[in-house]
Amino acid sequence: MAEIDDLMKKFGLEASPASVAKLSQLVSQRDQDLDKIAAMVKADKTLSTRLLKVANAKGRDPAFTQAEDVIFRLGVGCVLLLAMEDPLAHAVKKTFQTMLSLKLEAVEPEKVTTFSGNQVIGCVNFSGKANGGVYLRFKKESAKTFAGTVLGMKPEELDDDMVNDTIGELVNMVTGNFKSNLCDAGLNCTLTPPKIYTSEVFDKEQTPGVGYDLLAFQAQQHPLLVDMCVTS
Amino acid sequence: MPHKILSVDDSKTIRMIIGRAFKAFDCEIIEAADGQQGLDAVANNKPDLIILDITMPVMTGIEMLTKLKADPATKDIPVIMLTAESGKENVAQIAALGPRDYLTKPFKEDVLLQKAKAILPLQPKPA
Repeated sequence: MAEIDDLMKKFGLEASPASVAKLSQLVSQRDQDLDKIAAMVKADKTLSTRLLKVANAKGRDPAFTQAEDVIFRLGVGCVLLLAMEDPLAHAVKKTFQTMLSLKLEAVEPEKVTTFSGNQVIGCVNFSGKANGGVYLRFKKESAKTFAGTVLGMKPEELDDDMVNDTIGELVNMVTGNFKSNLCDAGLNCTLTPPKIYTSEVFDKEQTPGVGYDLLAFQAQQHPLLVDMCVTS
Repeated sequence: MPHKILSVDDSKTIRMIIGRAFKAFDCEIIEAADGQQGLDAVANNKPDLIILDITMPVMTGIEMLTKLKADPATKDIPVIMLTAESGKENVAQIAALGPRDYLTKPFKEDVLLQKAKAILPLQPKPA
């Protein structure tokens, strides 16, 4: 471990964020005792509430009413989903701050869930010790603006291919960082190449997995939605 | 003679950013979109520095770096690995192949330049 830390220092690479340590702790308990994990969640009202929200996000009928029921019926996937939020949010903010000098503010998803018209969606699936997917969604005009900022060009100078290439690279950076955090936490996994497409609608019901979570960000009137789902 | 810098990445965006980073310097930027194109570009241009992505189609950056290090004609060309994956296991695996430096995405252009300047005596472009 000391050797790896020396390498990280030698290349000037930053250490994993503190949230990865929390994820590591949870992963280490994963194969042990569901009762312990259930007790931990039950003791934390905020965590319990959030867990029920992600477990019921796809309109489950009947809905879960007890956090421990989620864990015993679905496994720890939904709990891991919550623990993955921080590393994913960190990766999103870091990417936009570094590549666009843009500070993204986290906002309540309810305030930005509706994109009218076409949205540009970047999707990556991960598989291995954690399985699921991450979707980054932009309004079409926001995607052009962001791409223009990265490339130092005016949005009107960009064609769709170039916008998609730049958005694809931003998605690659976010998910690559996120994957690195998962691996450092013991959840080794591989990523599919980013798939970029446009769509009028995004149906969370069609995302794979038992749990679903939504993060929302905003910068300069441009919203960004990040959907995350975990199958196991 | 301007320095030759080979930029190997399947993302046109990244290749454009790298080109922009070195714009003020007296160097020629050569581009390749995958590891095989990268090896062909090395054979044809003999670059002074290679900036190499890892995840690419046709041939990955790891495969390309392995081939470079196995060839006496190319093993000493300095390589800066450029990747979105900064996990400790990744860093250790790639470091064992002998790149001169490692830069994670997202990255600032001035950090890339700093790493390049530690390898090559870059001079401003003549007026």
